[in-house]
Amino acid sequence: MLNPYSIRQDFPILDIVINGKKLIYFDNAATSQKPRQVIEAIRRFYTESNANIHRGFHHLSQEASRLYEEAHDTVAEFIGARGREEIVFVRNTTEALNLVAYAWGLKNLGEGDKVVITIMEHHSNFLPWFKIARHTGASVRVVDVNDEGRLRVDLLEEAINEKTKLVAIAHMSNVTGVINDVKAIAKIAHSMGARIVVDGAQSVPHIPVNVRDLGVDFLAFSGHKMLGPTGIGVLYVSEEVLEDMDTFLVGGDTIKEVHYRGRLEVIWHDMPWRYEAGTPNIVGGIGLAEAVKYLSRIGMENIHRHEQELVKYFFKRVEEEGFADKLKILGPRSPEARGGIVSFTLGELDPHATAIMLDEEAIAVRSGFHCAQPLHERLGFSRGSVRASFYLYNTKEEIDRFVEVLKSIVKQAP
Amino acid sequence: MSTRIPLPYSPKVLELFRNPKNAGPMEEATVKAIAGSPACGDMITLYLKIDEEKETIVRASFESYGCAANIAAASILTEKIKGKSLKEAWEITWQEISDELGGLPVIKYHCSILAVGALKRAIRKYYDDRGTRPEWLPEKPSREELQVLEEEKMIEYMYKKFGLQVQSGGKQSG
Amino acid sequence: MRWLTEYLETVDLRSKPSGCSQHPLVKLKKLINQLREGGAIRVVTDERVIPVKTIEVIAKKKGLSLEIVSREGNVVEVYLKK
Repeated sequence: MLNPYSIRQDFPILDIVINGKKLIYFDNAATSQKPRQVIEAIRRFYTESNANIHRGFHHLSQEASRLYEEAHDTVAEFIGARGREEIVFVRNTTEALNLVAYAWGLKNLGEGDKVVITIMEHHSNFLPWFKIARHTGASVRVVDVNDEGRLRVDLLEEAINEKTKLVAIAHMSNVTGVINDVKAIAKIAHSMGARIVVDGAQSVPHIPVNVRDLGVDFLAFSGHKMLGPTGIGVLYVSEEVLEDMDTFLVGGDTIKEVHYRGRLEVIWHDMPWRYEAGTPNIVGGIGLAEAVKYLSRIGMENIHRHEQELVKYFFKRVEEEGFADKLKILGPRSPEARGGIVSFTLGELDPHATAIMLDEEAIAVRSGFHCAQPLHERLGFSRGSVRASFYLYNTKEEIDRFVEVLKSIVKQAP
Repeated sequence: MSTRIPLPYSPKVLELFRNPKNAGPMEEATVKAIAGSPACGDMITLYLKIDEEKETIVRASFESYGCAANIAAASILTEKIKGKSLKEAWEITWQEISDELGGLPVIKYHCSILAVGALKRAIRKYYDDRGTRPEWLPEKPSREELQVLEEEKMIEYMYKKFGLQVQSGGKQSG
Repeated sequence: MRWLTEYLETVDLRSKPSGCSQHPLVKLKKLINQLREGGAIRVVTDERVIPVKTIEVIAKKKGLSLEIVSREGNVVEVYLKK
């Protein structure tokens, strides 16, 4: 098991006091806090190793290049990829998904083709497919969830046919915390000759993810949600789909040779550099690698169990305090196949109003639609919801305080 | 600072609070007077456009830095004095304003006093500027003028005592 | 110093939000940020959905005074003043 109290020692920000109250940070699905180790790695890089990469023979450039390349290896190992060739560093999950839409989608989608997505997607795994479909003449099929927010796998199976070229799906919903059986869905997709891209923004930071075990073609995730810095994200590209892809952003660092003798001749760079145009977020990559090492030391299985424990405890405490009937949850109450995210509304209260009152007590949550408005509307939460999302450093005492404040808000409402 | 239970404002006060009349500054005003102080939370600036030949008020407007009652009182006062002679305007009392508002809560009486006080200050200032004083204008300050002064002085005293700076309306209108 | 800017803009918190940035509380916050000294906003809210406490929290943070002007059932009219 994991000890959140000793883990907290690594996160200086968690000691912050707001309005005389100790911060309770429950907005981890938006971004996580950073441990000293990551902050120190960033500081160390800038004070000891800073230079541009792949551009010089001088000592610092060599050192920076080595660190940046090794960061790819660390991430590859973390998600079970074959090696750095399958790991493209981008800015964030959104950019990673757009990269697939353009580099793979433009080359492989055409009139009559179908992209299958779900209603539980984040806007970032929703909008790029509609956009690329418009460019290519393909269509997008949106698969429904049930009233509990779980994917209708029967409808998904029905939707995937020989016209389907791509299935794009969230591994874990950023609203309900529902975890999709990506392994099974990948099998269905592949059996019809379709590719599968997985939005791992919420899963990779919180549960064990192994791309080869899952059998996915693409996996996108963000560094900042998993203890790493902002501005660094990852696209895993299975070597099996590489051949099907065109380049996306091109320019510096994406090529081996460029000739112009009346016509253009380009020899593109090896993977993954071909997709990392221009000077990348070097320190971001190094910070992310440090974050991955931190998570690996704790163990993803431990983190997942800890968060499930917190969710279970939260539901139990709400029940004990007697306002479970006022707490309308998006998604399932059972802790199985679910991550550490609880989105809800409180009685008739507006989610933003609830969040403002929680903030008065130094409790940080997110309110609104969490970039998943279609799912909110599908589940009948037209005003959005309040989202509490937990991580490895959150404790049961924090949940106690959270429940206490929620109860007082409920009591005050007419 | 806030009260959970609203004051028992009359429908007329609420109506004027929601749709105030003659709000905003007036550039072409003949005379302007301020009463109250932002420190106490209530302050009003009154603008009068005066027909100097007939000595009547052509138009009046106000800017308020105050509560709902303050806005309503200033609103109804500026309506009431439109077209009135300065003498007629002088005779308006704060009770009249309060009555026309359907009665003010006791702790909001001073809003009506403030509005009428500002009017009297403006009229007095109009004649002071011209170095004249009509017979009907008493030499001694009226009741409303005195009350406004008292309120301003008290606030000023409090602020001095606590070492704070305050911009007093009384000083400005002189 | 000017005492009143655009006089008493009204924000009706009972209007339904249609998207992230269209929320009436977002609109209220924006207006408050634009408020100059002496400016005022009239807010109407349904206490069941957005309690006055919420508006108090925002007002306190921005240094505004708050007066509850009227209350009819759950509908409350609030006057915010900078």
